[in-house]
Amino acid sequence: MIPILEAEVLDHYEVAPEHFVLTLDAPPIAEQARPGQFVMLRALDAWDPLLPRAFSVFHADSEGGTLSVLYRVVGRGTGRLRGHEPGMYVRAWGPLGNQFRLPEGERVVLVGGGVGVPPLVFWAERLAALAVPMEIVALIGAQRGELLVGLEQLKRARVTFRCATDDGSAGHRGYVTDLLPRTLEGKRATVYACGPMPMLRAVARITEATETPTELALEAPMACGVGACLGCTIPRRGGGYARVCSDGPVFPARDVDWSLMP
Amino acid sequence: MREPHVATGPSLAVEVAGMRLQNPVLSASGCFGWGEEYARFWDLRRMGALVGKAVTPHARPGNPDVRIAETPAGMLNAIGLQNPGPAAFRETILPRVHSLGIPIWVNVSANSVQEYVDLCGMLSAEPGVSAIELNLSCPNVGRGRAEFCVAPDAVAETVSACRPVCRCPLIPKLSPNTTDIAALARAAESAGADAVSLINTLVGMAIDVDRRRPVLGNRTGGLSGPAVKPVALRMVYEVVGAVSIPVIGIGGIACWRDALEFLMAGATAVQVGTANFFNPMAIPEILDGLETWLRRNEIADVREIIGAARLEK
Repeated sequence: MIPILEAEVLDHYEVAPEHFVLTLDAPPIAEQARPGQFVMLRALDAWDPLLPRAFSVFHADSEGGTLSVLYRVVGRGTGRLRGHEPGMYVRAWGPLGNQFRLPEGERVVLVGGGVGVPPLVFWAERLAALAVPMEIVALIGAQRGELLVGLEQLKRARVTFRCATDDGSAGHRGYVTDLLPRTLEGKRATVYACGPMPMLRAVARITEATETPTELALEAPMACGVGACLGCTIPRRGGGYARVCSDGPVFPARDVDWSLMP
Repeated sequence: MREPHVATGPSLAVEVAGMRLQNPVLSASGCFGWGEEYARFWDLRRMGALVGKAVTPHARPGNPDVRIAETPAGMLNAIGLQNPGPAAFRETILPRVHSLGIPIWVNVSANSVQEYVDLCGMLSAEPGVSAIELNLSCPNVGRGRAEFCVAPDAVAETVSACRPVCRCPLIPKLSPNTTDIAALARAAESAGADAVSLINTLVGMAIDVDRRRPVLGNRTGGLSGPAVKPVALRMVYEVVGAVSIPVIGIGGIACWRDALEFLMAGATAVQVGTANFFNPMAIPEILDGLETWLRRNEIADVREIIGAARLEK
């Protein structure tokens, strides 16, 4: 059974302008959550906005029973969530969706843009805790330096990272995907990416050329998050549609029909 | 000595077109998949009947993005009847849902009277199919149908063509996108419908002002959710007064109080749709709430409150 509960807000703080980390007391969800999966959150008394919002898991502490998400305030749903102070409750259900699969090769490359970074941080922490020796490199992008998130957690997990910003205020000036081709040189790698669709499209193009196994964690507006409404579909290579929520959110890059993506 | 008296709960059972339902709370087509998504949250055997996603004459991939848009207290959808078609439904979905042991209503949707007849013939005699709900009202799949479902003569033609081949109760689901829904219901009744269900979604639209274009890929979509409830309730009230067959109330039901409103308007049962999306526990919570309300009001049988709010003319 998928846990659904009224979860108490334990902590809620701003990590970057308009970016917040929300930590919930949600032991059954925290215990089951795996990197790549997401949770649905909704204010208890809200009919406007009506629908829950999907958030990828940023951190899950199964011992402490806490679950964290990192989000950016972009609209009414996240704006409403922002108003939840510690001691207040939200309705939470999950974990939902599939998870990242274990890497092939000797190097793991994580490519994250903006609020696409959180699931990759969770994955990096779990991979770094494995007894298998592997090199993990994270490429993290944002519009400007102050919007780069997850770097402290990556440092703590001893993950090497490089940054890119649109305005050059931190790291490489340009797209985060500019850093990818060189990072793929030398060793067999597996790429995991999450971020805006143009970034994912660029990642897919680069890694298809190098035949590098690549998994993308996709984002889509959802109504239900559990596979029932068929609202969050993406075109699948070979025809038909896949549900981001329940066939994903993690997809091999080659399974997406990029020619039909908006 | 005899056992001390044990208070039994109120009876929630109702009867629709000769079918006994253990309670009047059903899923609405298109809002519940075929149940498997919600079976991960609660025991589906609690519900009155399972009404699944529409089945069309051939598999449909569904509409291109964007398929949904949130609106105040509601949502627009233009999914486009994505489904695997009748053969796959019969082989892979029906055996699984049949094993639940609750009534299964199959919603069918087509583009012509003949296709409706074919679907009824193909599916109504399948073991495990308790009723056919004729989706005369999907607003998202082409102009022809949107017109044909809003005219009483088209409803009558479709229902009377399906009635002889349909081996189980036949329940047309009516469109609210019409000027006189009571006329549609009367047409369905005189053509041999065993019950009617209403309402399907209201055709609506949202515009993305930044991109200066409609939000939905299909331009328009069906509005559902709490926003449509007052319209649905009025239509149910009106139809109950116009026909003598059972009426299934649908439209924005999100909590037990909403369900009670429809029952008091005269609906024999209700379907819960969009609420499943924003609360996976909507149906069991409605059932619990109804039972508590009946108990608190010392009503032994839910049928006592059906039509309780109807006023004399």
